[in-house]
Amino acid sequence: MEVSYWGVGLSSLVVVAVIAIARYLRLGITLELANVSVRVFFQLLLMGYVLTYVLNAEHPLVIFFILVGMVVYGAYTVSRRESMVRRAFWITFISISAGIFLTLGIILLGQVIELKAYTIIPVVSMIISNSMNGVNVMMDRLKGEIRSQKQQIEAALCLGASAKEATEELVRTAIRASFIPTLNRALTVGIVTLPGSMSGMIFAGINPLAAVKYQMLIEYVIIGSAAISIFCSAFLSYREFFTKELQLRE
Amino acid sequence: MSKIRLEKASFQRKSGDSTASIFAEITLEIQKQEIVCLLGPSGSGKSTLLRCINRLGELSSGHVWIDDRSIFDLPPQELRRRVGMVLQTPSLFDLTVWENISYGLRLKGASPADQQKRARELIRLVGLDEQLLTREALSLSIGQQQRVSIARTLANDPEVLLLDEITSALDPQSARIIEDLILLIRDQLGKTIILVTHSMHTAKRVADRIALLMNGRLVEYVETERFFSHPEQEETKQFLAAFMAEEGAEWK
Repeated sequence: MEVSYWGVGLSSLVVVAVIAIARYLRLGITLELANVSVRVFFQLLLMGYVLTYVLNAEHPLVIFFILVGMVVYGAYTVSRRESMVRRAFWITFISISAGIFLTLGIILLGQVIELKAYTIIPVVSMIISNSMNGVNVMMDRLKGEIRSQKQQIEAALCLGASAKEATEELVRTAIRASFIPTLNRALTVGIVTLPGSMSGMIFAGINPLAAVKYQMLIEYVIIGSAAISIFCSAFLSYREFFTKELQLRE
Repeated sequence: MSKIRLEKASFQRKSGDSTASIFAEITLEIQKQEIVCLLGPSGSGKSTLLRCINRLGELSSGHVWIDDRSIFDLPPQELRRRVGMVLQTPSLFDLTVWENISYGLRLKGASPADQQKRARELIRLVGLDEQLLTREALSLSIGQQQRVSIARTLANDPEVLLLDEITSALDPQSARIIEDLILLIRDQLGKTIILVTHSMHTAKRVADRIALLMNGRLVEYVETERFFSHPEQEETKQFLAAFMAEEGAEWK
């Protein structure tokens, strides 16, 4: 069954109601909600037209450039939010790329899925979204921990600790926190939540068992790539809070 | 040969497009095993100057020499082991007292036996019961925590000790215990000590020499006795007069 633009418009009324409530409660997020809602519409519309062309792409280089473009946009989005962490764009870009290319590399090498745009791009989009969340929480939490534990960090530096030694425990705390969304998602999948991709496949008439197998693969890849992105961003982020003389940046 | 020499040390804080001078052109020498107190009103640059000696902060210009060796020639980690610093708040880690004291030794790879031996020696030196070693450090009183913090810094066996307002959060009795401890550390362990304080009482009791900083300038640097009895500079006289007017009757 095809959804009409009338149906999309009807569903957007819920968001309009949320915006109205946010405005009434003076939450200060009205503009951001409105901006996000409009962006969802145009981004997906654009993606629909692009996908029509892209999903038929066969050449690996075309697929590669599309993936790079997706990662760049994801990194840009996170880095705008995490402007207090130096080089946030590059840290996010490298971390998400590492997560994607390692996990995707394994499943492509194992020939679990084909190197075709219509299989790779949907999987990567799910990976990026989860990795972005993980990296975002990681940087945000680490920044908060370092700010609140400034005294302890300086005490450790005074005792001859390196930047890594002085922030070891804080990095661990930030990593644990950034795993929570991914773990919660994995714990409830199939029981509380039906993932969008699986629901979509079932809507499209695919056998639920076949859809489930595909979803299992996606879930494992999501956990793996989110974990790699989180570790990678933790490894790259903590250094950015220190000068080369091991002083905490202001 | 002096132990520490500051030569035209200056520090400017950058905030956006503007820069503010925190202290400028400070030159002074500190002898081995001397206790020097940096005194002055809030915002005079005392703590920032102290932080620049072990490079927690970075001088904008000028030099600091330890035993005639520039601090900029030493890797920061080695410098901070040689020039230990105790912060205003104890800032202990959420670990046991023993783990706190032996933190620096663990970083250097000392054996557990050596760590324990040193922790026992130091907890006795700072006047605390050995039984406290297994207690959670953050469960101790602030006065006890500050003594553990001093023991933790001494574990690295630094040649120079920087103490940043370490009695400011303590009650008078605890402050007096810490003052006695500062004198003991100099007399028994032979450390050179630079102390930042707001307390005239502490300065008079423990310092050999006092450096008065006002608005980031070194106004006077003389022996403690002379500082209080025959200050040379007009600003020092005004500073002491203002203090006497506030605390006069209690000041001995």
